[in-house]
Amino acid sequence: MSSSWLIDCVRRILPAGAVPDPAAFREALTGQLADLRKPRGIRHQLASLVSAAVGGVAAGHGGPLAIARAAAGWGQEVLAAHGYRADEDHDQNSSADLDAIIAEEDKLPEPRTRQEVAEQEQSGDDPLIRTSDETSHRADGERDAGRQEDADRWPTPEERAHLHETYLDWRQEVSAGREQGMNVVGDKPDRSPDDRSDLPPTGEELVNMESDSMSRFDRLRNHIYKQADDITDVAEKTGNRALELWERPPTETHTEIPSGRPEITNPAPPALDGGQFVLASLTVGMLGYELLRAVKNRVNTWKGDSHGSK
Amino acid sequence: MAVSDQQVATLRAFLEGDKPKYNDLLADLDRKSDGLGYSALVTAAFFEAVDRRFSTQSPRADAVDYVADVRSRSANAAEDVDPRIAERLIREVLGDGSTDDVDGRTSASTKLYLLTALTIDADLDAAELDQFLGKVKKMADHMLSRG
Amino acid sequence: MPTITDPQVAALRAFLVHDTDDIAALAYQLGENGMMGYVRLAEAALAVAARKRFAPQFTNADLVKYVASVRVSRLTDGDEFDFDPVVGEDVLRYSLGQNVTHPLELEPRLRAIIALLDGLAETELSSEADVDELLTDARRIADQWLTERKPGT
Repeated sequence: MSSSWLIDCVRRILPAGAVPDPAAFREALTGQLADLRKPRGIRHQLASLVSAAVGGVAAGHGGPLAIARAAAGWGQEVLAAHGYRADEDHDQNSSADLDAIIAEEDKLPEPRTRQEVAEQEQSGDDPLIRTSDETSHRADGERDAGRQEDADRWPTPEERAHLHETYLDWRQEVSAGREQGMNVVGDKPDRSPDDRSDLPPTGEELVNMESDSMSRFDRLRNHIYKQADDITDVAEKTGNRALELWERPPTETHTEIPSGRPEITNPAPPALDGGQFVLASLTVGMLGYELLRAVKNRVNTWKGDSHGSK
Repeated sequence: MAVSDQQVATLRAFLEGDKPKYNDLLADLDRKSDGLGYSALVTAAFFEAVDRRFSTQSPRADAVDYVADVRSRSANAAEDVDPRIAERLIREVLGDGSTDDVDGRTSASTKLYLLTALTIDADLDAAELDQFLGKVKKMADHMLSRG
Repeated sequence: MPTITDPQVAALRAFLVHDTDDIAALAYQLGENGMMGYVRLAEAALAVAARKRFAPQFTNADLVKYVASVRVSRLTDGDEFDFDPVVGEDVLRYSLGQNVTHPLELEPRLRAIIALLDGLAETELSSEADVDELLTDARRIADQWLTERKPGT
């Protein structure tokens, strides 16, 4: 999915000026999008990018860089609703660079739909496969032709009404149970953007790993001294028993469970030491812990069920 | 002070599972003059073997599972290895907790069992064993040089 | 002769099915005197469930690995739910009819009984009928044990 294709989709699906609640929209997207980007260098969640793109299109911006420039001027609250941390996204100094990039973008052709790309590839008339001299000429012509085609393909009034109705239904669905004006900005994502636990280590992390390993080994220094006196003796006795592990598979004794009624074949367990009071206290205490564990597991199951049903 | 070649050769025979050779070499080690060096070598070997096998991100469950697996391999292992001490030794290598309260004898004994199992599972060829022992010797020398 | 009572069976049932509303209340009702019978009933239930799990034969390795699996399943809930694995293996041994001659301390033994019974209930009892059958067998066994022994043991 390219940003241009996405922007085109948004224009088609959402009525002009319509914008979904960013936090609810982003929440609905989370878990639905497959993020095919390489993990390194990812700064923003995909759902946040899509949410911002939709907001930008609704505000009338035509391309990804125009949206990015507009987003640089969005307030903290708006950015947070789209899932951005304000301190890293509110870089006013980048606006000047963006202007230059946007100027370049204006020379590029209008975004194409997948169908257009497929048709043009088949006909061999792919506008992107050109020499560099033809590119700027072509870009102007393409843009004009694209705009005309775009107007022709815009939904009819009936289609727009249907789309608007569908959009309103969707809004109602995601807002269900939520009171008007309820703050959802504070909702925490399931996974923090800083959570890199499943990603390979960076270069810096690799260097730190080595020093981490040595510092952990250093902490075992006292082992060396407390073992020193006995090590040769232990090495002989236990070492030889441990070497039996090489003799695999081990020959294990199988014990048969006696058939017949267990009250006859099962001897009574060893006597329970300790007075009745001690026994009662311990048992009640432990049952109390088990009760807590059962409640905790039930809550976790409920949370899992309600999360899965969304 | 540094680890001697004799001590390294003894550990190599142990890690190869060569019982006769191991016992021959072990018989030539002196309890007093070789104790510290051999202790450093065994400790370094245990550390390195655990570090390679377990990730520092591994949950405690990995240690419980592995120790149970080792203890289930022989009746002697089940009897000789205290599972909780073995789990704590593994976790200590990974930076979680300490075994300061465990006496030297039990600590060494448990390490030897776990080291044997870890080596069997790692299935090192001769070159890999050389590399392993080379690194372990350096680690032990480093530890001994710090006093 | 003391025998297993209905409240003791009800309390154990609440534990087995994780009836969080009733466990605490029923256990409290048993009081000091009722706890001994309750623990015996729990051990009898453990014997029945363990036989089901490990039939027709088992090795020492089976016990070691099973105890580890129960511990691992409880570790995520917190350290307070862990139990001594060596004691756990001994509890399983005598539950399966083997002789355990060395003494077992009360607290680690109770922890192991509760944890192992909970673990076995999870895998071996898949319906109310299974629970009923287990409790019926356990009551019969515990009654037998209680009549064989002197009161208070």
